[in-house]
Amino acid sequence: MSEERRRILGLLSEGRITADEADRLMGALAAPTREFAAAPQTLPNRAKYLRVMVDAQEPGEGPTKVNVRIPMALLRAGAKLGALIPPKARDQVNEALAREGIPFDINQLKPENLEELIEHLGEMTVDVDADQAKVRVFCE
Amino acid sequence: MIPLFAIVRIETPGDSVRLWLPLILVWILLAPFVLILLPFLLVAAAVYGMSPFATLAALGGLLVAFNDVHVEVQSPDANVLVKLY
Repeated sequence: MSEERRRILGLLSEGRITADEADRLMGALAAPTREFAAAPQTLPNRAKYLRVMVDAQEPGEGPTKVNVRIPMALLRAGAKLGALIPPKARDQVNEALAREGIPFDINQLKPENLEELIEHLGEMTVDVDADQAKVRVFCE
Repeated sequence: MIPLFAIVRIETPGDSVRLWLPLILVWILLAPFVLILLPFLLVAAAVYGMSPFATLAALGGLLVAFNDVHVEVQSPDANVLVKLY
C-alpha cells in the first residue's frame, strides 16, 4: 500500500474526512496511473521495414518485378557504422562529393539526426506510376 | 538475433536452384577467423582514430540487423529470392 493511500485511510479512520471524500481521493490517486498505462496503446506503431516494390514492363521483354524488404534496424545499424567514419575520411568524402557537384556535408550525419530521419521515414510513401514502370517505396 | 537461416532461390528457364542454408553453421565456421582477425581490426580502428569497441558494436549491430531481409526479383530471364531469417 502506498503512503498516500495509508494517509487517506488514516484521515478516514480519524473521522476527518467522510467515506465519499476518501473514495474521491483514492480515485484521484489511481487516475494518473490509468492514464499512464493507457499511453503506450495510443502511440503510433513504429515502422519495422522499408519496402521497395518495382513493377516494370520493358518493351520487347517480359515483366520485371522487384520486391525488397529491408528492416529499419539495418538502416539504423548502417547509420551508426557511418557515424564512425574517421574525420580524415569524412573530409575526403566531402571533397569527392563537392567535385561531383553534390553540396553535402557528411559531418552533419549524426546518429541522433539519422534516428529522427528514420523515425519520420515511417510516414513516407513514394509512388511513381509511369508508362513502363510502377515504383512504390513505403514503410510498414 | 543474427540471421540463422537463409533461403536462396534462383530459377532460370532451364535451371532451378533452391538452397536452404543454416547460417548458424557458417557463423560457427567463421568464428575462428573472426577471433584471428579481431586484434587486427582493433589495431586498425585505433590507428584510424575510431573507437575499437564502438566499431565492434556497430559491426555486430549490422550483422544482427540483417535478420528479416527479403529480396526478390522476378524477370523473364530469372527469378531470384534471397531471404535471411
